[in-house]
Amino acid sequence: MRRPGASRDTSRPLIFIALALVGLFWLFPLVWALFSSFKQRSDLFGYPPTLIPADPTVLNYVSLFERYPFVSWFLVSTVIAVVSTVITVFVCSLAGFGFAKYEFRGKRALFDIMFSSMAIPFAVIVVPLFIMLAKTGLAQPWFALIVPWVAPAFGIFMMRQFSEQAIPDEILNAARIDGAGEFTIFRSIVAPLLRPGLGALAVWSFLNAYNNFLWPLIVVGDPDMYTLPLGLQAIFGAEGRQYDIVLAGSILAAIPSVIVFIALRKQLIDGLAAGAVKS
Amino acid sequence: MSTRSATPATGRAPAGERPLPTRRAFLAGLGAVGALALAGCGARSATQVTSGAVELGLWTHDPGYVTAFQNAAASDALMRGSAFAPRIAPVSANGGDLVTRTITQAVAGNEGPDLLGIIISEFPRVMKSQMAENLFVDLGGLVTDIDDEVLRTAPYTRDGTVYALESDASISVFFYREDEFARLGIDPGMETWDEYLEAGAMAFERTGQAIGSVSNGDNTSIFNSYLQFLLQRGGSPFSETGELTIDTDESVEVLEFIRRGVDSGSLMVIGDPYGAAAASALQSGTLIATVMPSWYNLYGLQANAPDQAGRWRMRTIPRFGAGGHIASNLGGTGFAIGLDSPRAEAALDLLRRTYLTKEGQLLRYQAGGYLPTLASLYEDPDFVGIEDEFLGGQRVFDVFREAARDIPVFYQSETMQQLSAAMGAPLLDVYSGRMNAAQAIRATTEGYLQQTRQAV
Amino acid sequence: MTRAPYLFISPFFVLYALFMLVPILVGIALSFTEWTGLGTPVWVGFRNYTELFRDPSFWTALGNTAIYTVVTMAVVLPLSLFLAMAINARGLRLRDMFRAVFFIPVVVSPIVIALVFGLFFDQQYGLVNALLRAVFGFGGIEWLTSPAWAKVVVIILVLWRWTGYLTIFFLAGLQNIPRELYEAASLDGAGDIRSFWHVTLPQMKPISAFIAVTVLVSTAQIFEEPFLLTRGGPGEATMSIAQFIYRAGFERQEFGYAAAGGVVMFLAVFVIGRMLYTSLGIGKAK
Repeated sequence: MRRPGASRDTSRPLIFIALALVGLFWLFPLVWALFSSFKQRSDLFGYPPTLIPADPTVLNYVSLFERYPFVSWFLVSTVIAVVSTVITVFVCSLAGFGFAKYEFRGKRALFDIMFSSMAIPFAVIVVPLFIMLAKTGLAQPWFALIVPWVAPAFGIFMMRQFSEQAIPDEILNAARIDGAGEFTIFRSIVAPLLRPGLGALAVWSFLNAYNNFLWPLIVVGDPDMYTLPLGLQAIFGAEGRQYDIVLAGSILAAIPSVIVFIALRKQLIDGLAAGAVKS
Repeated sequence: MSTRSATPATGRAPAGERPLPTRRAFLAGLGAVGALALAGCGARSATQVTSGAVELGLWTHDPGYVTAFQNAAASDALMRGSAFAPRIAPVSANGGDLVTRTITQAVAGNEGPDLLGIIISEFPRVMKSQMAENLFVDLGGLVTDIDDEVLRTAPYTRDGTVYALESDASISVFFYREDEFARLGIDPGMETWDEYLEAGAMAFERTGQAIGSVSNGDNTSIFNSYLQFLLQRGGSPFSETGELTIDTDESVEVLEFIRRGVDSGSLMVIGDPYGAAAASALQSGTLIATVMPSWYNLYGLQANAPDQAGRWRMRTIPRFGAGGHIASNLGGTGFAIGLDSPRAEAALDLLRRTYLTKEGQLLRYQAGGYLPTLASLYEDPDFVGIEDEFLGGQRVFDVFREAARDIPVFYQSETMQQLSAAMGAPLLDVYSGRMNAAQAIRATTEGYLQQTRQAV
Repeated sequence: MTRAPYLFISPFFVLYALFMLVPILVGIALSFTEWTGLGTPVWVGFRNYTELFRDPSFWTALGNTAIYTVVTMAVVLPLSLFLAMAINARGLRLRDMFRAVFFIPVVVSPIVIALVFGLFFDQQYGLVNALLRAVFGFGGIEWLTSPAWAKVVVIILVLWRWTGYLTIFFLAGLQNIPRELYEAASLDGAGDIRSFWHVTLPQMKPISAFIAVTVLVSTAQIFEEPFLLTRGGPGEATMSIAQFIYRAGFERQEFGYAAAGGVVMFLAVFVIGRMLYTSLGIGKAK
């Protein structure tokens, strides 16, 4: 892989040390949270603050599982994030490909409309959207948490950029000469070529869906359908501020996103590299 | 659109007569706005459950209430003669979110709560234009028919109608560290705040310890620490009819008191009185006394400083020289019943048994330390004998009884949120000495007029 | 051939029309009404808008949001670029780990982040002041209770959360710069700094412009950081426009007013974003 750096090899150790130092600083709040999740509550707020638990305990984790349906929150969040991600990736790559590789009437206008929707603040549409779903009987968690959010303009834009670079016109033309239909071309030729881009979009989409808070708060009424952010907020909002349990829950909640990031990190960067660079 | 057959038709709460085409009105409204032609709607037909097994959705931020209602529903003595066999299905979320969700579910035509615990500071949200009336069952009948006096119905009243029953008298008392007071030579029996501020200043000088706290956290916390003292002093932020009444002698005195206390170190400034900073202050022994409601014993002291068991005591709040009460209030949660619920009658039955009988109040106290809301129970031998181990075996109702006779009355207004938003910054300026009482009141009044968009 | 592209983009546009366009229209309609969230909205004409422009809270929120946006653009963006360059340095060890380290803040729940930062920046018992006391002998900074410092903490939080995320975009851009350009510059005798100005920056212009616009659009909508950290306080010193809208709707039950705020915010973000898009030449359909 090409690694063009602005710096010479001689400065490498310096860069490494600098990065390591900044990195430690960056990680510190999370390391603190991790260690603190093993602290007794009374140890959590001692002064002066300490990093290492004086008397480590797994009680916070135990009460999390005993007193709250943490597994259910976890599953709901993960399933919703995964399903949203799969649909998002499909819708966006299809539309992105459409915009990148076809000429059609109204393309300019449609693209502009799509692109503008990136500037629509969530706060603006949240209430009207909810009312609309409610009035049409669609304010059911599975539907409302997934469907309205699977066509983000950012994703389409990214996939358009990626398609333009990753897919040579010759391949498409060759396939058409062989008599392949357009959707077959998309499925069997385009999709594999788009893979790095899809990975990038998947990470982006998963994180958005997984950490979303305000929208589930409004839509979900049934505790069986609580997502992780809702559940954690409920623990925190309970009388007596259960910092200890919230910390344990947040540590566990971060695991899927971290896994997704680590698994797809190469694709994320390569995908973004192709998707966002040239315009 | 199906029509609901009935709103709960209990003899006492004449809710059935109320015309309530909320959803239809809403649709018509949207049509008027010309926004959408919406087909279909999620309305359900609701036939009242009149007897038998019933599952009640209990929405609350506090697991203690879940326990309290579960115990109540399981108690044969308490449920004797009831037509219902309720089971509790809890839904937990934080206080503000519960109200938001109750409203959104009502708009959506989905099942809302059967029983909803509304944190007192969230109630003003439903005081706007008949929202409470459209969401909750009128509980007026329950409280007027009862011989006993029910405490704290005023904050949950809108246009003379009570919509929620308080769960906890939330009587504020003065908690103090007996050992530290003895060590510093502070007499825990002193009468007035003046004496305590002096003792506190001395303590701060010698050891850096404080005998009270005010909050500098978010606007609501800041405002609450003022409110608690204001109520004790005999003031109230709003009149019964909702007019702003903070420009009073009482208010000036309280602000001056806060300023003096913070300035001398008697009162320490803490971000979240239930959160991290308070925990540190308690544990390190910096905060050795505090005016807090009864529930702070459990959720503040015991939760954060369990190793200080036996060293705390409580008493009534020292008086303000110029008058007022020896008790105050802070916080509390009222329980309301969803008007749309097909189980409203069952919910009403359970609420009445748990909240308006001695047995229920005893159960409630055992489940989460919730103080009785029936005035007579403060004299009842079953309560009077209760000893609190954390407070060194103190007979707590000796203090609560005295305090309960002198609880201030507190009215809320639909513009409560606007007031706390307007008052947060001026109060911080009072702490720091940048503003005096008069300036803070002027700034608050001005801010309030702007927040409520009455300023010209 | 002619139908295919329409079919391909149709899922997006169907979803877009239903879940974006329609809500926006409803929102615009609501902005001309007074509505608590229940019952019938009452038509009030332009009153919400005239009140909005006279509402000092609105201007405060607008000012705060502008500060967040400008500082983020001026500090977070360059920082991300430098971080990306450092991580991209040839032969750097543990490159993969560094990428992950800086990215991880984005994946952690905002609730716990606000909780941890709230603890760190507590005036009396926070770690930051404790450190300052230990090192400089002074540590009484009112991090969360002075209007100026509270904004600083919000910005620190934004910086911490988003720098690593943006770094990934810049890294992607850096990887696309042909190595020959650096070699040529080096042959011409250009040092690190010169090749940064003459090779890296020009080559990074397209992606930087894209990131800048994305950051602008998302910072203008900032909500979580100030809301969870300070609830917009002290007073309204850290309240953003998005929180102003949230407060009107969900704390005061003034949905018409909230909608008016939303419409104004949308127009502002849209116009500024559009201007940037055009002037930086991104997002044009060919």
